[in-house]
Amino acid sequence: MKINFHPHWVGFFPAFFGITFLALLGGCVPSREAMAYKELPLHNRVQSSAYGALAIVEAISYEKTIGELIAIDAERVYILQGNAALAVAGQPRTLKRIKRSEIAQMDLIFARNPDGIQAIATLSYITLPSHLLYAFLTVPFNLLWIKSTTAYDRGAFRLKNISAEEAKKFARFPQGLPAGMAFEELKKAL
Amino acid sequence: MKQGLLFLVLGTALLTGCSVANGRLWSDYKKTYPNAKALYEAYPALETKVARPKATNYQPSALLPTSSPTGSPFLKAHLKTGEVLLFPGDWSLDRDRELVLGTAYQYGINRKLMGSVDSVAWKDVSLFETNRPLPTNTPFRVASTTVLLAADVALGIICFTVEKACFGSCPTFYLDDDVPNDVRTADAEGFSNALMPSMAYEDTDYLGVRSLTGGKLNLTVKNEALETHVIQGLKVAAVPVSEGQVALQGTDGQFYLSNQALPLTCANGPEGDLRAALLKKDGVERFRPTDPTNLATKETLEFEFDLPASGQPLGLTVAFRQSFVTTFLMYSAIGYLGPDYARQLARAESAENTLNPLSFQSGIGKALGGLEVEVWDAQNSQWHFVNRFHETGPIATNTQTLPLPNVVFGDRLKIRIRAAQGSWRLDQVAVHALSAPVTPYNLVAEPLPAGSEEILSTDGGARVNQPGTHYVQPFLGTVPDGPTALFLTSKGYYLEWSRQSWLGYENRSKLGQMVFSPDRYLREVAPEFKSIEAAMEEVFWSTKQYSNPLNLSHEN
Repeated sequence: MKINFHPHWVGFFPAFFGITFLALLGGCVPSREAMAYKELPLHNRVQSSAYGALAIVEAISYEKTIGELIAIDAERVYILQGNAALAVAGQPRTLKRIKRSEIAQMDLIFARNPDGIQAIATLSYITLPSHLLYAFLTVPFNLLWIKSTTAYDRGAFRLKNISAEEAKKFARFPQGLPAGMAFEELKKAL
Repeated sequence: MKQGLLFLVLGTALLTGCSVANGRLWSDYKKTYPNAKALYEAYPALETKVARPKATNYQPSALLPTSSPTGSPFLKAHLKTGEVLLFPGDWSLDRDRELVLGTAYQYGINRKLMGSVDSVAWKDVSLFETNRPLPTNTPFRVASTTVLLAADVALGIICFTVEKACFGSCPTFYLDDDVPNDVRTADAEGFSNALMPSMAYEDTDYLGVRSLTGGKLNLTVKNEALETHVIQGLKVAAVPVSEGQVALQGTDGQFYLSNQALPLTCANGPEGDLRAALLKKDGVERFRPTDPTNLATKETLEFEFDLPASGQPLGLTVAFRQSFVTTFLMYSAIGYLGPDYARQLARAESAENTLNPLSFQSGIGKALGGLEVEVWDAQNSQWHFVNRFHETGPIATNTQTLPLPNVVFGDRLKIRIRAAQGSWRLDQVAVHALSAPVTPYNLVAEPLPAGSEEILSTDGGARVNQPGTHYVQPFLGTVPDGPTALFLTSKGYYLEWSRQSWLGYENRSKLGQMVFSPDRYLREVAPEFKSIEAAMEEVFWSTKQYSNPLNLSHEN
């Protein structure tokens, strides 16, 4: 097929790149969870990671807590927010204690898939305006496929609604908090 | 195709479901052992680090030496101090000395690397942890998403190079086919609203002024879309004009002459002064994009003209064409019918009352409306509805004149046009002083030159033009030589081809909504149309042509 671009396409390019820019911009406004997710070790390297998994905890009288699972003892779950390993921009570095009895749901994500699919998906999005009237078919299909893929990625290594007992082994200290160390002391040491 | 859709839905559900459930499958990738004894008991069954995830070491524990390389999964020894030892390579258990042997990295409580050790005593370890390699289907998903990207790019290239495969058009007619393969130069677009035989109608379009000699005229006829065109009749109305005179096609079916255009003193729309775009028919069009929340949102344009001293009848002349809203809706309707499109078309054709979802009299067409014209009645101090302009088709510009009623206009003629925002492109708005209706000369379509018939097909006297058809149609009549305004009347219908890729998008409820709840449908579909509106309009102005769309059809 001979590709022979008409000079009038020049007028199309600004709109084309505008849409592209907006698409990329849209991808740059992730949620706290998405930001932390990007810091997780890849699935083929997590075995060598000495850190705990990413915990997403919803508890009564707390806002959603997202951070590294440090330890779980008989009464509490300890989550480190704003640490270097699972940093969320703007989030202060705090060790949060949440009573197990108050936890409504806890999810853990312990690894992530590579980012290659996201890059391909972004390129796919960029092509959509060029589909003209076919876009009314290709836009939903692409959205369906790519959103599914993204959802798969996010959920691939997610343990949804895991119990505290099951979650223990995914903590930085699966054996529990280091013996003889006070909470404040631990906070400084982490 | 239904199975394909089913697979798509199931696949998506599976993928989405996996996002919730599959994490649970990996929960055993990590195991903990409270002491070395427990680790030793599990020792023979530990999965290997280098082998596939499911591979296991079935060597009986009794045969294991007291100390040997394990080839086991990654081992971590969590010390009582909170530090952790990570064994990246082989390790073994020394039962005699109660040691774990192997090189290990030592990390502090803060998980900063402190150094390495060659062994650790069992008694110093609070908990052992093993991890097995995690399987992933990333390569498959990368491959499948890459295929999707390739398909997206391929479709984009097709649309870049052969846009009309992505836009479609109705029969196009050219007075001067001196810019080959550029649909922008089409002088007329025939019966765009006739989607099936029973909808066939006569459509009259202004072609332009040409100097005729001997009553001869040649018109180029093209099928530039993936459609089958059935042309049941063609004729040309010719109205001789003198210098400074224009011939006008009335919305009442009459033709008029005019020597005087009223000065346009004011033209305002939501965006401001419109005079620069609307004073002349020059291809510079006034267009405002659609409302992202509702395709049926209306806007009002207001005009004022100086009135002439004479009491001649006046007519509002508007040069206009549709945007791609209607084309988009038509393609959507066909997509919603899915593989049942042809059968439903035949069913509708044989029904007593054929229901056209895009009809101007009902449904979507009615909700979108036309260019509704009102004049200011100064005597009664109110706007007086006159009539509407409406002509389907986004390609050729229609120029029509609406005779204005005999009301008291006041010191100025005030007119307003109400229309769906983004549905229309206006090239000119003018008011002319009209003559009495004139009777045009008729130019009749002549038989095609010998040899042409062999490549063109007919059906009961009608010309059936498949995609890619392109021929010159001669006309002949008795017309005085000289400048003549020409108006083409075409009668027929066309059958829009469904595309392979549309077949999986059957959605009867959406079609039902389009027909029976058009207002709601136009609200819901507005964001989808908005997402492609800019690209569609831009690309239309960069039209290119394909020589043989039939070949293209196989690629779709």
